[in-house]
Amino acid sequence: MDRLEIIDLHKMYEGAPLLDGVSFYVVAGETLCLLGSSGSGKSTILRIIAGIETQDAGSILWRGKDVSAVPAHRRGFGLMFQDYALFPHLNVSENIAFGLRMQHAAKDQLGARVFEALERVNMTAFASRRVTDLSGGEQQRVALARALAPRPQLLMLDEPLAALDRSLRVELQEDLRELLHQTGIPAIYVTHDQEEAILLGDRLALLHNGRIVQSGLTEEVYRQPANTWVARFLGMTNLLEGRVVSVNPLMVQTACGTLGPFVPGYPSLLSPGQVVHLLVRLDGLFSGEHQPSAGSINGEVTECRFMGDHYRVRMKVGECASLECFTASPLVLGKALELRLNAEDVVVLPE
Amino acid sequence: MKRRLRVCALLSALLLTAGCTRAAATETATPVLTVMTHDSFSVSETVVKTFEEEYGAKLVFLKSGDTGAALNRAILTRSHPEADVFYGIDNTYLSRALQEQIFVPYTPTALAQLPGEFKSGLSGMVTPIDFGDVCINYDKAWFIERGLALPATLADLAKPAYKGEAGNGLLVVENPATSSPGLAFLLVTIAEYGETGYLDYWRSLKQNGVVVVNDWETAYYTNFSASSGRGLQPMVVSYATSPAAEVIYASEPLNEAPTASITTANTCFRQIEYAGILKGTSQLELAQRFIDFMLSPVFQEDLPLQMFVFPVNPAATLPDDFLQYAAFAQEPARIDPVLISKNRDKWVTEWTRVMLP
Amino acid sequence: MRFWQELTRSVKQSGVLLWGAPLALLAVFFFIPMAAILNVMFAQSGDIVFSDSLRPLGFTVFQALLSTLLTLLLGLPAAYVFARFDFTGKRGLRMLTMLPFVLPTVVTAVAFNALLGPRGWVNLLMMKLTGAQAPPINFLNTFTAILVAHVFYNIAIIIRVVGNAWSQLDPRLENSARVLGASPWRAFIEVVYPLLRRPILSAALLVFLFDFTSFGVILMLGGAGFSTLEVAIYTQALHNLNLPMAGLLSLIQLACTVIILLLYGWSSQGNDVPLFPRLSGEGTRKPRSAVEKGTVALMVIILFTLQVLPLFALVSRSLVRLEGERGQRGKVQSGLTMDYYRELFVNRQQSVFYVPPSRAVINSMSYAGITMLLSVGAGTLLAYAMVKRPATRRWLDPLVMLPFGASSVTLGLGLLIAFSGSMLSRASFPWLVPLAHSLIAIPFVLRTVQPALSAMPKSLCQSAAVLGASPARAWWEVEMRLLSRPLLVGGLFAFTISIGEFGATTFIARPDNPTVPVAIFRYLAQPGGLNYGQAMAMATILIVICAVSIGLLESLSRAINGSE
Repeated sequence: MDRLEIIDLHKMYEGAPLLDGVSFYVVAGETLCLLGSSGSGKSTILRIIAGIETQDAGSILWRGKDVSAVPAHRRGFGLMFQDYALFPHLNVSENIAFGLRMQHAAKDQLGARVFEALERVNMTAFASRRVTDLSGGEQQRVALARALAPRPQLLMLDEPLAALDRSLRVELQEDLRELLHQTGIPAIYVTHDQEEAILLGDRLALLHNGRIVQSGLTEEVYRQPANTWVARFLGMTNLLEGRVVSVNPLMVQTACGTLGPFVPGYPSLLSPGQVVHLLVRLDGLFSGEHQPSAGSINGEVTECRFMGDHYRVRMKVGECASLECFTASPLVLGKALELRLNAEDVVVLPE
Repeated sequence: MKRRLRVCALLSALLLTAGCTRAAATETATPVLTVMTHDSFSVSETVVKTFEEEYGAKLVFLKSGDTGAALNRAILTRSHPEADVFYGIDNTYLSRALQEQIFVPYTPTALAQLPGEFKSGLSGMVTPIDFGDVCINYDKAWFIERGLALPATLADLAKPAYKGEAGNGLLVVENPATSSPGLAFLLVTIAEYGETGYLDYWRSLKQNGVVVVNDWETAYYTNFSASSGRGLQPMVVSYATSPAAEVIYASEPLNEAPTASITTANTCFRQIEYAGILKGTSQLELAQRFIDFMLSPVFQEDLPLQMFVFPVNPAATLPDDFLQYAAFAQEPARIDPVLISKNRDKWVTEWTRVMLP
Repeated sequence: MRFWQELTRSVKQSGVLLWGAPLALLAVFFFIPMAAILNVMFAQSGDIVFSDSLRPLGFTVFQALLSTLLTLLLGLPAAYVFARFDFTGKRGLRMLTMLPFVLPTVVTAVAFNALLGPRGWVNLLMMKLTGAQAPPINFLNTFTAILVAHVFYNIAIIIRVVGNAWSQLDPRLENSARVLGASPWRAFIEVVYPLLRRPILSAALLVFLFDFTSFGVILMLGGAGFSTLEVAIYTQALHNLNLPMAGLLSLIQLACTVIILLLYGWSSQGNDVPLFPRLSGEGTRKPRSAVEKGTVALMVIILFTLQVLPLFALVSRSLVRLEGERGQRGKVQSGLTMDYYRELFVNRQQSVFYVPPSRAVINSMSYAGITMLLSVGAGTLLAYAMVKRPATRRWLDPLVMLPFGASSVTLGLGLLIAFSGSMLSRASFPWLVPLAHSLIAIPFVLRTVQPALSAMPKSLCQSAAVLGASPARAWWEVEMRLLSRPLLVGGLFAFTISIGEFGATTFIARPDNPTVPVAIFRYLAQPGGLNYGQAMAMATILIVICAVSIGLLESLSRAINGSE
């Protein structure tokens, strides 16, 4: 089965560990989004998988075999570079044909396959253009077509949309998503943009401090972030700092009083006295008919902003914390609220 | 199968080359005589063939720059001589070469027939082959047009009549530090005015606007008015044979040379070129035959039109063109080669100080 | 076993595989001969007068500085015009500026004489117009002639080396400086110069060393009144046979070269500015404003006058016969003729040394071709060594440059004694001449290839690898293609240097393989209008063949590059 597995990758960079035991896998038919802040070593992982850089320790298993000793050009993986690295001396179709020529593709097939690749990215009209004359989006498409043309066993994309403007990015995201599913090959998509990750990734792997801090289906990761960093990195801001009072039942003391009991989340060991964050989902906050299972918080509306089809309400809770929620109708500024928490709406996150 | 074929091809190719090298080896059994000489050396193909056929040998010529460069080469490589014979050393360098002891003695029998003036200072080491006179050449038409009489002596050149206009004197000379005709003309003035008087003479030439350039090519082709360069000076220090070359190598056939040489007494310097056998030769016998050959009429008669020099052997007959237009001085300036070798540096340095401060 | 692993590892890390071969070449063909000859020189008899070296030294430095400044003054605007503007005849003009390189000095002297000499075209024209009896321009044998000839020869270095780098510089940088309110001059000083400092300095160094070791120009165009160290070495070694004095002068010249190289190394410290490789032709446009048009037109006129007119004058003298009418020296009649060319194919005196023009051309071309391959190969290896191991640059660069500043007379004598009687003696080793030429050509290749190589983004080769190209193939299909332009420029310099060079190699050239310059010398060594005309015809053939070769090489590179 087409499956790439990375086991315990280590790499030093300028005397400090950049990768400190990275492990993850990706299988056919899925796109793994590798997320991490810039400088976290995401690109390095791709380069190591591609074979243009070597790891200090760890293995790269492709279909169960370690390919660490196989040189880049024999791995049969595709990599799309962040700067696209299009060959300036070749035109669009020559760029795309490069990989095919390296595979000694038959001459009579070459044209057809280049055309096919161009068609896939809607660039047939650009076949004989010089790559230096192309716009950023066009270059991106050519780079993608070039990476796909030799039918790689695995495709890696290194922040392919980072250099583009927002509207173009949204448009290309859709195209990419479709393309990646069409090909059916395992894909690793590196990005630091969580929206892109949600849209494109079947699974996510989050890289932090040289390790994968969490990996799993995109939905799962969103539902159960492993820790405060993951939650913050994924753009979740409804966080209340607190301290574990007891583990069983799980009670947490916050600036708004002691709350709980909660259901323990992502496998992690909590102990009394530990600092945690409560990730609060405020969807069912005002359906306050039934008795809240995990206590309630008193808040006061500080901001209410019209967002088109809903309102975003910001509330002050406790001394210095604030939470956000969405409502169908506007709320008056200064209005006191009682937020009733259900256990399933709250995730307890370790640091 | 394919692989085996390739191996076969490789083996046969190897065998073939082996065969070729053996064939080449037998060919090199022909003795080779290497002659080191200067860049101006030239000889007819037929003359070379005559020697090669007569002695079953091959002649190889090694040209090594001008006379000084060639001599340097012979001196510097004397521990591993590159040639068997050295040809082209002239009387201004002769005593230096003898002092460096690069030759082995040889005196051809034909030497006896040569005029006495060529036989002095040979030390039994070298053989004179040819000679040519460095003389002042002039633009005939220029002098006719101006109705100016030709200078007959060195002293005439310093007279106001030959002063020229505005810094452009009538005579161009070569720098004796970088040119052998230049050195020759300096020696003429030293022969005439002595070590004590020659600098004063040059000072008066300088006042008369004499032009100094570094090499013969510039003097002749850039400054001399009768050459194809069409310069400004109607007189140049060149060779007495140059007028013949102007006719033989004219752009259009001429019956009269556009230039002529002043060959009056004590105004020319006679350059004699010698040949010698280099120490360490492995072809001593053949080298001696070649020296003999160079004095024979076949070689001697080839000299004039190849190098525009006169043969030393009076038995050689000269080509008509050459006889008609080439000249030599009856009374060239005389100066002892030993004295030249001893003082040339000093004279050239002193001359430079006066003429090119 | 472990020891071998360690050894191979340290060998790989030092990059010795890259610089080892070129350095070995340098050692065998430069350091050993130089050491040998200096050793021998001081053992010969002769007086050393130290004070005699001071005047040539002073003049050498003075004229080299002045010539280099003048070359920069004209060369930088020319490089700018070539790097930034498209204009009709640009390619032709750029090619023509390369041609002086192939001309032996004696031919250049004749070319200037044909143009500016007492009976040169300019003086003939002015005398006709003004009715003057004496030629109004006195050019030959002056200090001006030296300066002009040095600019004539070396401006191509500035145009090519600096122009090449300039065309790789993103024009938006200059534009944004201009938008921010900088005048063109300020934009040059504050943006372009800091970015191009390296190539400017390194091109200026080449020019300076060429001028510093100038020989033929001083001797033939400057005349007897001027003497550089190289001329003094020539005089002492080959005319006075005073080898110890020549040795001392050579040492002084070499020491000066070392000092100059150290100063250069110190002043050009810092990293290369990474420039994304741009294909030539990018960033160029037609001149728009009146000022731009004026600048381009002015540079074209200057280059045409300086570089092309002397060549035309030379060519014209191979086709025109000048005959003075009897009794009227001031007037000259002229007529067209092909005689000089026809006569080249005739061996009038049946001389053994007669060279058919085709033979001379083939010899010249094969020496130049081999020189080009050798120096492009060695120069590229060195460029890789310097880019991959920047630490090596500190000592490798000056070492490679040293032959440039060494006396060619001394080196020629050195090659002579180092190889006489050995396996590599001149007779059995025909490659000696191109190898000696390569010593001079390698710095050119290095200076054009190295900046381009260090500016190349690594991702290009890596992406080729990921697309399935083996390292060799990625190198050949990506790096070499992107380097083809600088390689071509370096190769062209090697080619032309080899064709025109005759300093060091007259001593080691094989007389049975005479080159075109040798043939030209033979004609010029004898009087007679025919000899003169044939020399001009041969020089014209040299110019034409070189122009054609340069054109072919350029279009070859364009074909590979698919650009411009």
